[in-house]
Amino acid sequence: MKLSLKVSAMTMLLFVICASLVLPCESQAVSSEQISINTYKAFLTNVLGVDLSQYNLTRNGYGVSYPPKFGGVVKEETISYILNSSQSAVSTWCVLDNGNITVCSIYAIQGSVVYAQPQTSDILESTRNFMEKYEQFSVQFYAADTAYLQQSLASLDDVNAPEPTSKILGDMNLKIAPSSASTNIQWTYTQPNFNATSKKINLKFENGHITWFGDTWNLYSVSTGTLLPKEEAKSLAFDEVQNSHNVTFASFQGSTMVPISIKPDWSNMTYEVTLEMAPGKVLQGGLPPTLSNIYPTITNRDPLKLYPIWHFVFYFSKPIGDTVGVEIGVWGDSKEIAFCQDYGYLGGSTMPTPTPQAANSVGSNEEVQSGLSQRQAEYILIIVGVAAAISVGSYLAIRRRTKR
Amino acid sequence: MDLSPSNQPKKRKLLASKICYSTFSCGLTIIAKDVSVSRLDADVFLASSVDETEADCFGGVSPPSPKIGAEREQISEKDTGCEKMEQLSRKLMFLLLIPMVLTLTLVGIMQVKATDPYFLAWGGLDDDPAPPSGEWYTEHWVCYDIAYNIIGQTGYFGLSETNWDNFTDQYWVDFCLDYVQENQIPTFHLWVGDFNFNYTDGNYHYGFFPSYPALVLGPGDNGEYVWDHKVYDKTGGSQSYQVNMFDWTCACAGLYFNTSDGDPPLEPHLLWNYDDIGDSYGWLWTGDTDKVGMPLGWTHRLDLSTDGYSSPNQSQVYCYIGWQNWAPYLNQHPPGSLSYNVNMVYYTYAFAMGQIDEEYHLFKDALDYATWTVYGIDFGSSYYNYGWRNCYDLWSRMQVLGNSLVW
Repeated sequence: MKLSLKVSAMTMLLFVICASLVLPCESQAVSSEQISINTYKAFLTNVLGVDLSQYNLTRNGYGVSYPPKFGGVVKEETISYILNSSQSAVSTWCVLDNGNITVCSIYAIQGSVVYAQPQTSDILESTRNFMEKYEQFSVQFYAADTAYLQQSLASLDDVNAPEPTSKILGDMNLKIAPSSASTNIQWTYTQPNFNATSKKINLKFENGHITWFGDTWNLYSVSTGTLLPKEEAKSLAFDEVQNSHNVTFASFQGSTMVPISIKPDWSNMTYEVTLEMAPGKVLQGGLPPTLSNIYPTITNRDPLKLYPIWHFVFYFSKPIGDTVGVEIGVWGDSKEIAFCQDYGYLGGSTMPTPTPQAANSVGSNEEVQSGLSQRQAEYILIIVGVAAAISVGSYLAIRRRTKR
Repeated sequence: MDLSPSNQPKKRKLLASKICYSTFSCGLTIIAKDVSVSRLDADVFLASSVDETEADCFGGVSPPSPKIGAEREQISEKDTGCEKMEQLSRKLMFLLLIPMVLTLTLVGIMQVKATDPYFLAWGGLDDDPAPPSGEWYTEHWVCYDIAYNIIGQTGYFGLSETNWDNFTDQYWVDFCLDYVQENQIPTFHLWVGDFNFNYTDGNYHYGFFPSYPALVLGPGDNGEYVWDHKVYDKTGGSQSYQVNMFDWTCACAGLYFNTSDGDPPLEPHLLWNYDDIGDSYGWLWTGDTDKVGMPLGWTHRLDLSTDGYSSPNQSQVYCYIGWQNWAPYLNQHPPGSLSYNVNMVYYTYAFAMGQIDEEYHLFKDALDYATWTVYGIDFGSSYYNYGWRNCYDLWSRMQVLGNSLVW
């Protein structure tokens, strides 16, 4: 009796200890989600000016991940809603990285977005209003350095119309790209020899209203150091594709496919090259998970820092089937090969030319029917076989049981 | 055929609650716990039937236990007539039960979720690249992963499977189209692989490359390519139920290879041989093979919006996403990015089908999300939408036809 009492007491004690450990974690998780949701709602209301009181928030989506591209160190949350009212239906979603909104989309499926205050139709004025409110929001919710936002506002000072614009102010490159359907305004981190397109602020206007916002300026820093010269990078890259890369074809021996390798003709090689600034783990955790064309690196790079990669496409003298060349990247800091893969298109080896081709055999309906019947017959045979096996097995089992 | 998410109360379920049930039927994989339940019911029915038969034979005595087995044997020796009847009845019972069980299973498979949409992945590569090339693996992987690890886990689709490089040919496409059209099942398709063309009766036709097993083992060669006019012949009736297609092959969203000017067309344009009919993604006339264009073939419509991203036709449920001119390999980078093209396909489905935030999304939003993973911008502002000039001075450009505000 005493023993059972002791066991009960111990069990209770353990339960209380476990509960005291688990419950705060759960409540912390809930509050963390709620903080992000509140941040998003505040952004929609305070920065974009949406009158959320006019809407029912439906189809609430929420998800968390720790993406491999950030080395698993960034908590990425995705939040989404359909905003419903008698006047409109609006689809909106956003992504927060480590609690900061890095992208937000808002699109009216029906009607127009309902705003708390009348909106100006002047895109530049609207942009300035947005950036000022966003700066206040960043101070309030992120306690972040907003000097870059002031710089982006300053870059608009002598811009008078939403016309095609490209101007550099400090390390910021402002581009305005209007079209008939939309206007894009983007500030990209820039240096004399590169544009870091991963580090940017961008806005998209459709029908005079903001439908897209992105800000990764504070998410990434930029590596410093000596950049591998382009010619040296080209030499390293071309040596690799010449010496180590073959194009694989399928050949058949009966019904067995036998891959064969073909050495490309490089005698009249041409190439393209760009310098990209990529996050340190950009090639990690890609899809599919294990790509053999991504080379291992011994250099430890920060996933939230941008590093240079020389990105080459070397074209064969003439295409080999669908494959027209080889794409290869060379890290501009360590001289390591980053990736190397076939470069081509999904057109088939019988690419059309402007000269009409002779009629090909399309195959008769009789052939189609017979093929279908053949496959159906195979399945019927399988079904009958399985049924027969079950019958015989069951019958034998019952027979044995009956004899017993 | 209302596919709007508001009318679909089912939310994503936990992975653990799903039972993947591979079946002999058509090489398909059915993902439906209902099916396994009906199968379980059949097994229970089988067991209880045996017991009841035995009980009847022994004058209503309870099912025999080991303890009373000896008594049972004694009775059997005394009553050989009853034993013969018992054996005969068992044989007859099995003869009847086996087809019954098979029928129940088939009915469960075919009808339990017959009104839910289907997802089918297709495709095949021409004679290059082949394994061990990254492109072959990437295409195989993305079709498999989307079919089974994204859509197969939603709990909403009645069927989700990949036929990539296994069952992709005209025969199997015809078979599946016949089935979903007859049963009015809204069907989503993903097609990844090579394009081919054919000149027949004055028409340049769009074709999909079949899988190698089909090409090598099948009875024909070109006859097994998947042709626009043959698909069209299968999607008629009251309406096409082929509501959604993401087609990552060359050319099949409207534009044939062309031309001397090479500029990216703002509208789909059959410059090569249909100058006289202007901008179009399809061509329909009276002859047997006068049905040109994959979007026409799959949707059976000639009135799809030619900018289903920015100006979707919301009166329709069809969304056809494809490429004008050259579609790049999935296993390479698009211009201006070090992300792979495969992310564009993968994340479109991952976001649309609720894998990211446990909620379904419009395909427009899904395209934006996927483009954001590749470029950090929306689809409409990206190279995918605007196009780019490739090494042969031709343009590549993605095209969204119909209505992207679906799902």
